[in-house]
Amino acid sequence: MLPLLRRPLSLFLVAVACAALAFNANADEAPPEKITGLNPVQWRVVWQNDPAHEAILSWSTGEAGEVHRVHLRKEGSAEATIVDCQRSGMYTGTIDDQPLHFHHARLTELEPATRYNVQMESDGHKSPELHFYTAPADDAPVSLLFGGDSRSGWEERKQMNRLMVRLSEEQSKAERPPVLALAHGGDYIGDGRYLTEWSRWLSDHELTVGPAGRLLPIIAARGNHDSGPLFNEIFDFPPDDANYYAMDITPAVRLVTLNTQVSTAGDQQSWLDSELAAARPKHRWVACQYHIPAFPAVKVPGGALQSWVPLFEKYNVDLVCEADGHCIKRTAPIRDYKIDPTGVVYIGEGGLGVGQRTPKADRWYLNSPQAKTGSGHHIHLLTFSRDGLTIRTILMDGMLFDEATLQPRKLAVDSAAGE
Amino acid sequence: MCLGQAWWLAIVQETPLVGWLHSPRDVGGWNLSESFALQSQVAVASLLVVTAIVTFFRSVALLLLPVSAVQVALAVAMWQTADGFQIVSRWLPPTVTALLPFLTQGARVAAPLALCLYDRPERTPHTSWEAVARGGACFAFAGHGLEALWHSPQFADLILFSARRIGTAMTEHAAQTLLTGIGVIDLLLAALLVTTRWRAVAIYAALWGLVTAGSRMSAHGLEFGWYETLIRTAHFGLPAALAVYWWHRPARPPVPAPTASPLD
Repeated sequence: MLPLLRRPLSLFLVAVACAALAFNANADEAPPEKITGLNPVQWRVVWQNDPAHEAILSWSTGEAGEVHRVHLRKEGSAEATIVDCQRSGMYTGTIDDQPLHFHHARLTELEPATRYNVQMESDGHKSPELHFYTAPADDAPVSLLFGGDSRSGWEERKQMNRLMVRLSEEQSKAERPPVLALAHGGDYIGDGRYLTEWSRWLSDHELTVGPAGRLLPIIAARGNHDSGPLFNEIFDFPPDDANYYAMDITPAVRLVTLNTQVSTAGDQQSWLDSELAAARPKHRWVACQYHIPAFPAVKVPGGALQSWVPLFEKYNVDLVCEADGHCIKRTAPIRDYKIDPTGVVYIGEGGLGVGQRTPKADRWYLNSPQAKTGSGHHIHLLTFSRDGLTIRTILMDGMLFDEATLQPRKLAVDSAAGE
Repeated sequence: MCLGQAWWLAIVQETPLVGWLHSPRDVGGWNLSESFALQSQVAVASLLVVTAIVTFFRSVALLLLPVSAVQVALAVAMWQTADGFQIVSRWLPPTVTALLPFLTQGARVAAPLALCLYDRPERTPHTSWEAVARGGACFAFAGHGLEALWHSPQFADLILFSARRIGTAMTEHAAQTLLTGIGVIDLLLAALLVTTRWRAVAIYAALWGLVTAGSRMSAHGLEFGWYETLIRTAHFGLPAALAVYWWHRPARPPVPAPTASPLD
């Protein structure tokens, strides 16, 4: 038998070797932008806690430098204050054996609903003057962008970033509720352990800064491709942070960011229970975002289904934003694994660049007239107001794909929200 | 294993393979259409079903070798698309830790090969089957042991979900402590499987492989767990085969006593 097996065994080994070699030649990897010197680049504003009063302004430099600071000037004021970076360091890894350095300036005691002009400076090298807005501290209607999965399709990723600028500008021009920030549902890059990929994403993220110089704050969730220490270095989380947190977008809107890349059933579930118990009575709108879906349109459910869905239903969360599936979905409202008008609506599932899949529209939570699915690069524009939460799904060409409005739940929240 | 994988590939459809085939080239994928990728999976699933049926009666190398190749392709796809658990280490570069799927998939690659070498038409096993089986089991236990040592959140959730189903409360910290112990034992098993022929090691590995494969059902329920358990048949099948083999392995023939020299 052995002589008989020799040939297929040899063929098998050759095939394995060929496959192993083939994958290496497969990537069309254009080199990322080379970052040298001390010019501040890869600007970003990160929201983690209290966006009405705090923001993190971050950037990268090719060299380490010594003095990194921000010139912060409130709109209308002639005087700029200097804020030194609280955290600077070298990103984990290198790009073509060259290091890259991060700088984070934690801006506190900001005034709500205020434009702040900022200029980043590293050892005398200054960025252009840019600006960002803090969140309001009253019950004003506001908008958020939600999207995920920008890990591949780099050209499409850039186009989606430009679309974010366009949407923000259109909202402002039309005097509709302003776009405050981008909630990113994770999978920024293909393999989070590689600085090269992150650097490319960071450079592309600069495209969310429009010609007027407005920085769009990001609220970051971790995806399954974002493993490693770089995520925390880029978004200024502590090195061992578990990356689940919540913030008041306004006093009426609470956004909870969860992490499907740590245990869903352990400490995070306990935290979510207490977070929702505290948040629900005080906010008209409670929304959650995370990466791997509980009610997927393409794949199989993640741990969120068992760990978090019962809590979403217990506390009547209004909207859950998911990613990972690479398609468009809006489920019918779900409660107790059935379509129920009092249930929770799940949207997503990631279209900020990654190749799109065909959703499995025959799933029970998607084949209802109250649900919508599709395929195409997209972003969700969420508008929170006293009367409703409007979910608009915008395609890469700017066309509206889907629009739905959720009514506020009959809860004793309006008085708490200032009515 | 073949039946579980056939279901995964053709019905569930969401595998690293389809991700790899469909991903654009900028991230190392093949940029094939989604329908082609899915149809390829159906074709592979058909092969797996045929192999499962035929292998029930007799092993055929021309079927089993491609099954093994499919497992390698899945490992390559996981490697390429950074699918599955990703070890993050200060001491090992990501180019090395990214190779983890080749360990975790080891038993699934080895099982069809080992069967090929064992169940030959002339009914005389080729002795190398044992080395293949030991190597495959060793890889699988080493890979999963590393995941446990790194406190894979999916593993932690398997423990926590399973504990809840039997009405036991457990903290995440306790699950992680358990994972550390499991990881150490798995690595020890991996080493012992290739350095000794202790039946107790093979029996323990088989039982533990069965428990961990079955944990997919105890954690996620039958709906999502049954095929996940079947896919991992090799994790307990290979050690079980080794245990049986080592149990019945013929003792080494006694060294013949020196005969008296005619000159004496």
